[in-house]
Amino acid sequence: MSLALRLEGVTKRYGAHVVLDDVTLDVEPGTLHAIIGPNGAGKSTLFGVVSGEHTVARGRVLLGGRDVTRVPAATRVGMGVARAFQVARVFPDLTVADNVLVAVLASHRLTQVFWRRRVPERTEREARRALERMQLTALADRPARSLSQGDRKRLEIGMALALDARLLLLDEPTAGMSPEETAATTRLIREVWRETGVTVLLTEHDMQVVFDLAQRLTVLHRGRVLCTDVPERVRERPDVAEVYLGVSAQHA
Amino acid sequence: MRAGGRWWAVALAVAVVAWAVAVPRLGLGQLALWEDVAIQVLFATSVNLLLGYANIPSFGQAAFYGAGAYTVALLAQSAWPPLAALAAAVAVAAALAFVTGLITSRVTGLAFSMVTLAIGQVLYTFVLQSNAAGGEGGISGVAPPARGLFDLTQPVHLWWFILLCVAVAMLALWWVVSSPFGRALTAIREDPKRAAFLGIAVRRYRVMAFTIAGGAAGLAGGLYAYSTTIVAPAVLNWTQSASPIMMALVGGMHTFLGPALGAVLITWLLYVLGQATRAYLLYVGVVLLAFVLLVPRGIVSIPDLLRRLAGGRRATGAAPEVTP
Repeated sequence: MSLALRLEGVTKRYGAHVVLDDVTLDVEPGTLHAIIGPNGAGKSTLFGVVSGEHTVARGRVLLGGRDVTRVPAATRVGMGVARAFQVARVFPDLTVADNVLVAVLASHRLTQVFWRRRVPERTEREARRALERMQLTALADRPARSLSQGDRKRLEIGMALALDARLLLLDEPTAGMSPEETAATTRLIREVWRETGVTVLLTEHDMQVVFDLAQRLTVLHRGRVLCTDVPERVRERPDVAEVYLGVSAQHA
Repeated sequence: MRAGGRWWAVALAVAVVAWAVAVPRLGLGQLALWEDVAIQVLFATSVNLLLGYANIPSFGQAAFYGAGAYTVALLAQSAWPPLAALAAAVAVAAALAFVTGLITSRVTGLAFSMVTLAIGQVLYTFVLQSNAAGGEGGISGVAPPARGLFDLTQPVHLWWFILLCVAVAMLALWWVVSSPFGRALTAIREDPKRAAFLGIAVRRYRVMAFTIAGGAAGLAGGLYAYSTTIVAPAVLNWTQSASPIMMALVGGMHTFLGPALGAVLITWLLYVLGQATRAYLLYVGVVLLAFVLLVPRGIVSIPDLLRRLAGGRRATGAAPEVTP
């Protein structure tokens, strides 16, 4: 299941500073779409706008054709928008298994149940499957706090997937990972995308990952969309090389 | 529950029952003390649902405790049977907590604590001025009607009745914290933003927790009214809100039984020291300070602490254990 995303003329300001400037963007349902751009280009803000964390000054956000510009974050989750943060956010004192279980319970709207002690067997099974898929079964009983950054990110992606995501937002999914972890996570994202057909929108600094995964690329520069195209053609654009690759060489 | 946790639970239950049988033989003074202990166990546990499980630092729980106490005191005057009066106490306190929760759900942190404190003090002042509630003198002579299977005018019957009510309420609270809702609460405590992006409507859960904790505090207050037979405005005062927080701190916040243990220790200490010296609050303060400085995770962490001291160097930096 997949969800189309459309941004129409979205502008976001922090005081006088314009972070997103008239951004128009179409993400086709079921595609793997990457947003790239140097630091400060507005990538994380764009994710905040899509997930409902940030309000916008101007423009519209559409999910599956429905205008959700004023719809709160929790409701967008209910529509299938799942998000993993740049610095993985998990519940540190809960075990890995409980982290996933909370996500599964939330996806079935069972977290309000206080009159029943047992978690339904179906939910438990689903949580176990999610752990297996993310290869976290061996770590199930560890508190999430004790995980490495890479494992934490995997856990967070697993939690996002457990929500029955239709649009998956991954903010630098391989940041802070070792080369092996990066390769494994890249593979995992592709597998999950193939299996579920979910729309994936991701940002990434690692160009290898971007060109391995993305079907379409959007280049963001100082809050503006420079271009959106297939990776091969984006790579050949001289303006992209100038604004992006030039800067990326500096902080590599 | 951890391996062996079941045996601990059985051992604890046996000890509690044995003690419950023994107490009435120790005289009326001890009976009153241990009734108070049982009631404070419930009150501290209800506060810990907010403090420990949901990280909601409410300084106004006395409002709901007092609301429960006054509800029972007023209804006892029209000879309501105890179960009905207590049910009304729970309902009134829960409704009051629900409204308070709604009002305060937009503020967090210190501002939240201050608002809950203020709401509690408003109720205190209101009751102080109210004629129906007996004003400064409060309501005395609270007694259940002398009829029914349990004649609660008899001290021993009242003792068992209070214990039974506390036990049922504790089980209910244990049920709540180990339910899916309880897990969601701890998740919100750990990272409200992450929880929101899992689709958990954080504010609603906070209000729900507030309502449940308020209802439980109301029951504790209602039992207090039967136990002491006097309800004065002091039950609504902010010091009454501070004491269960202190008990939870001493016992161990992020656990279910910690606050109960804290309630036993503090209530007993207050009684024993109160008999020995007029400066008893000073000594209780010293005990509290000692716990905060030396055993910050409370009584429940003492076995772990001793093990680590005995084992020497191998401090693992173990995390606060989260029960369930």
